[in-house]
Amino acid sequence: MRAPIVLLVIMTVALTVPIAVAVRAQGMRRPPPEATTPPFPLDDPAAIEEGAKRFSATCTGYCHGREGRVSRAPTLRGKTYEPAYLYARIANGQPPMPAFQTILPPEEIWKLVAYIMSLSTATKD
Amino acid sequence: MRKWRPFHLATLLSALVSLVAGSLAGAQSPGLSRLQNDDPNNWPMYHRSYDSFRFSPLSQINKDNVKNLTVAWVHQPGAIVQGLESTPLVVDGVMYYIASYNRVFALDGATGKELWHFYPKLDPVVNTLFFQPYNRGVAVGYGRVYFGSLDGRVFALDQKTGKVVWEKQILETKKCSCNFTGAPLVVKDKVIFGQTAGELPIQGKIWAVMAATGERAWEFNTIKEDQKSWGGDSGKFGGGGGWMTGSYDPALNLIYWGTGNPAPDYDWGGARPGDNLYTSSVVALDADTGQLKWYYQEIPHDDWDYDSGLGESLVLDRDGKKLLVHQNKSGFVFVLDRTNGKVQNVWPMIHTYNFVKSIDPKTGELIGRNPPREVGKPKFICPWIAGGRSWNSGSYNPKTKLWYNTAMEACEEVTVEKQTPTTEPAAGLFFGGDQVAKHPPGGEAYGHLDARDPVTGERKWSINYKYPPIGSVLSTGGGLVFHGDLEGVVHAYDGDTGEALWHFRTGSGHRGGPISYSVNGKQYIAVPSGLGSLVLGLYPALWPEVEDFPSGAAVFVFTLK
Repeated sequence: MRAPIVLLVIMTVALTVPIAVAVRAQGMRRPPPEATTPPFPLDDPAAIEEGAKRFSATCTGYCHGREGRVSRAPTLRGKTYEPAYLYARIANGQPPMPAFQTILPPEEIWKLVAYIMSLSTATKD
Repeated sequence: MRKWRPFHLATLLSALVSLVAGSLAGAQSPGLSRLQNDDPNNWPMYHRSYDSFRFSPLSQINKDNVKNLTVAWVHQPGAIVQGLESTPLVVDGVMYYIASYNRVFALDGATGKELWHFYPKLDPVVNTLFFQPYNRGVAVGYGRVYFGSLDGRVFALDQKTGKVVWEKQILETKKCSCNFTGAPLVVKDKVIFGQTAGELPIQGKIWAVMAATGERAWEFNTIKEDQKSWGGDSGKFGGGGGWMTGSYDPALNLIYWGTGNPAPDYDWGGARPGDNLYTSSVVALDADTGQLKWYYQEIPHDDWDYDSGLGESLVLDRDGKKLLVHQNKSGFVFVLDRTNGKVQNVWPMIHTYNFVKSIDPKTGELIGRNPPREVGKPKFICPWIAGGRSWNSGSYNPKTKLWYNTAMEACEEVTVEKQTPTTEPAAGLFFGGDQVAKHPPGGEAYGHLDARDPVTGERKWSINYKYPPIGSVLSTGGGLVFHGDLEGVVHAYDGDTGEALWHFRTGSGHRGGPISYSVNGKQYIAVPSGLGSLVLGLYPALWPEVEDFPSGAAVFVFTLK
């Protein structure tokens, strides 16, 4: 009976540690549990489109620049991110970026993640 | 058991009320005298005086000796997020200032030695807000230091010890996502606070609390309950507010306050039918009751986020007229009769605008409006959302009769998007669109510091800056003008000619308010330095290098060698 438990522990650690390490390596707290399970594929065009609208409505001109172009906050175009990192960053914020987890439900945060991921191949101009 | 008779109880209550009132009255005379600006050594309120001149009469430092200015001391608040946006106060040789995260300090004005500090424990809701963690100033009066907090409270600290005398929760910040970031204004027995609201689907207010206790005295809703002004239920989400510090005319007992923009910032057509009173307006309120005496809406149905929240209103008299000179974010200056709000003149402080063809200087009517309305289609608009000028303040020297003020020549591309207001579980941002900064047609964006007649707009001199400046201005009885730029250089100019006389590199850009004061017969110039600001996020689209301009936070204090 012990072997399955040990196997389960090993599998859990194997699945959790890389996310935790990746997240911590980028200076963030551990993401909330829902961050590990996007409710839709992150390349879903509908999710990306809705994420783009949410992004545009949430202060991008002042903060990340329209469509993730250059600003004082990090430029988002043409960069590659881990989804869990992006989720944690949006949910928890980092001053002066607000934490959105009490304002947006997880699904909406995931749409933002989907949109920002879609900018990884965008040019800066 | 002995019963209290009504007579005894009434006598006791009466005695207690007299005692409290007496002690307040005792503190009131010197307090008000200070606030009414008869001690040239002090800088006792945000704009130094109720007339918002930001002028120090001190003249020990003058055009001849300003080249000998040197650093007396530096103080760092230890929090640099969003820089240092505040204007320090000095009363009786003690400096009081506030930094990010509402860190409040009292320092010896001659040496910079800390006398006390107060770091409030802020509610974690602050981390979810758009307007944070900066603060623009405190108020001093009745032996207390007042400030509004990032989590919607108002505080009174003991001026000598920094201990909390009282604190009151005024705003439901967890629900409204709104807070206090501007300096309060002490007027008679009350303290006035304006809240943030312009980008939020809420109703923004101006609040007065009793200076002695923090009890609410009155509130003024900047969203008028009027279906003609706010069609449908749009007024419920109308924004407004009064996020910067206003002025006061003791003779008329009127407070003048600029109000924020309507929400959503951009209207796709039908978002908020009507003129949207009292947003993007100047309101004149009875100081005792908060009753509206008059209003003047500078931008009816504001389509561009050109709000009137810029608090500074010059209270000055000219040719027998009682005037109020108020600058709007659109880059236009409105000269009003401060007894009734009637327009006396309107003049532009910028050259680059297309949001209107003009504004009628006699009536204030916006002629040839050019609103961004088409959903999803970018529209080129000047000036940009940062405005023809930001919330920083100019300075009026009553000797030269010149107003020294900054302005910005920059444009943007606005894309309007329909948006449903979010109010649950907390208010979400309600912009109704997005924008990106653009250079003006045929040239580079830039900024300038001008010396002008505040009533006619006639210009005497100008200094141009590559990066539009966002710091406030100081003028002095020594004939000098001090201003810090975006690159971290504080300049002293000849107030008559604009000639550069002195400069010092502080290491980070300027967003706060320089002041002057005197301790033991020695004049000082205090300059808050430290880059940070929401509007700074717009700059890198025009000048990518601004992305890397260092943040910071420090008060530099200069005096003669």
